[in-house]
Amino acid sequence: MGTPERDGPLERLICPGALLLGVAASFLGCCAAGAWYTRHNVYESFDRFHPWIAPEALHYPSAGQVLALARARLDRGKVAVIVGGNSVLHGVGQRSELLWSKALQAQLGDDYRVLNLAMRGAFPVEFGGVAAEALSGEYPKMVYVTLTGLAVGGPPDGYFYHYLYWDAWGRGLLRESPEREEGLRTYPLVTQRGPEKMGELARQGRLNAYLYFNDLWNAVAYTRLSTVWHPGAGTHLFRPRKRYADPDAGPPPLAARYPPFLEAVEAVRMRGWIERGPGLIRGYALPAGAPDVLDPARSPMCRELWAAFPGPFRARTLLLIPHDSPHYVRQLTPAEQEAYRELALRQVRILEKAGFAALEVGYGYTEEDYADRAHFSESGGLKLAGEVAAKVRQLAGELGYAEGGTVP
Amino acid sequence: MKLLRWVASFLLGCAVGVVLHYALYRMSLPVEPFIYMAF
Repeated sequence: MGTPERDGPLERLICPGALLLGVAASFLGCCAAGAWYTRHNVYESFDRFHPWIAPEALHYPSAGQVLALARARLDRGKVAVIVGGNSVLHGVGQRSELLWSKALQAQLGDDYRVLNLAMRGAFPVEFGGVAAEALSGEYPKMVYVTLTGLAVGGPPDGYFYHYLYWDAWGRGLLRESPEREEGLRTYPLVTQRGPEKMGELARQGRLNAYLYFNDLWNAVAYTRLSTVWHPGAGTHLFRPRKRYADPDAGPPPLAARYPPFLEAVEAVRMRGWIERGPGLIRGYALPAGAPDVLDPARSPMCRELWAAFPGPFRARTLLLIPHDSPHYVRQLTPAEQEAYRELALRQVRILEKAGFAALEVGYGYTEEDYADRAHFSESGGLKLAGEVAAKVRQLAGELGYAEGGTVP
Repeated sequence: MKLLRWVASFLLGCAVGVVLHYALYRMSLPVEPFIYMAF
């Protein structure tokens, strides 16, 4: 084996020490820039994480950025109302300027600060719940508003947006919770990811906590230059995400909201829920003649929600149980309609027994108040805001947020 | 000439460092299409 050749073309051009110094300096500089972005909000004119600034368009706001946004919008002296949940609370079917969470802010008044962190397709604790938990130390007066239904609690770290949970976990922003640990070991949607994927999520969270790569490049994508192309961007290869407007055009005309081909499908779905719902909520088959007792400890929905929400956060969590559009509900017989409503009320009762605040919403709305089967239109959003505002005020009073005299 | 070589090496190193940091970000992005793309 010969000795390595000295003064080859590369050695003549490159000074190794300077090269390594450059690598280290710029890498550390990027980390520092990313750290700076976790302390400064980049989402300036924010109403909600519309699809262009959400994972649907390959934009993954980091935990640090979501918290920076929340800190810019919330006020420690006021009640922080964080809205989580799925597309219903995100406000799909509502234009940004007529968003229900803006109406909620208007109805609650200046003693409250509302922030809509709901994401399309999210489970109750997902995304918004992670932010609410991470911020709970800084904002002791907090109400987290989310949504469930169909007796679903969801995985403790979420599903489509579980990256945010692990990002926050990597930074040590979440509390220890044995119930959550158990849920992460047993919930089917979590276990089916497999140990390799779980390990990868944890490593990624830890690595980003030290190196801030998601924080930096997300911020660059939003403010300066998007380096991740999405089919919807077409020929705008590098357009920064802040230049995209919220694309929700509001509810379609009434004639287009309820396609005839869905009538039979929805009727079957609702009748299936009426048939199976009591058992799903209860968590066990009722023996003949036995009293129909709601026991949260036997309810999969309640156990999943206990795993998702550590004990101290349950009482300040308001779970909404939404009704489907009356366009479909009125296809049911009067007895079925009564049974359908009772299922919503049963979910409210068992959730309250489980230590959560709960409220059915959408009952008595018109078909114009819905943009489709599940999503509220702008008029429905106004009604929703009214119902939620009254409950949030009541909850704030029960939680003692009124002490100090600023909150009714 | 030596200074120029040092500066050029340092700037090249800077570019490599930025690319490394950016590569970590790209590696963290999921490869599967997202929710409404998939459905």
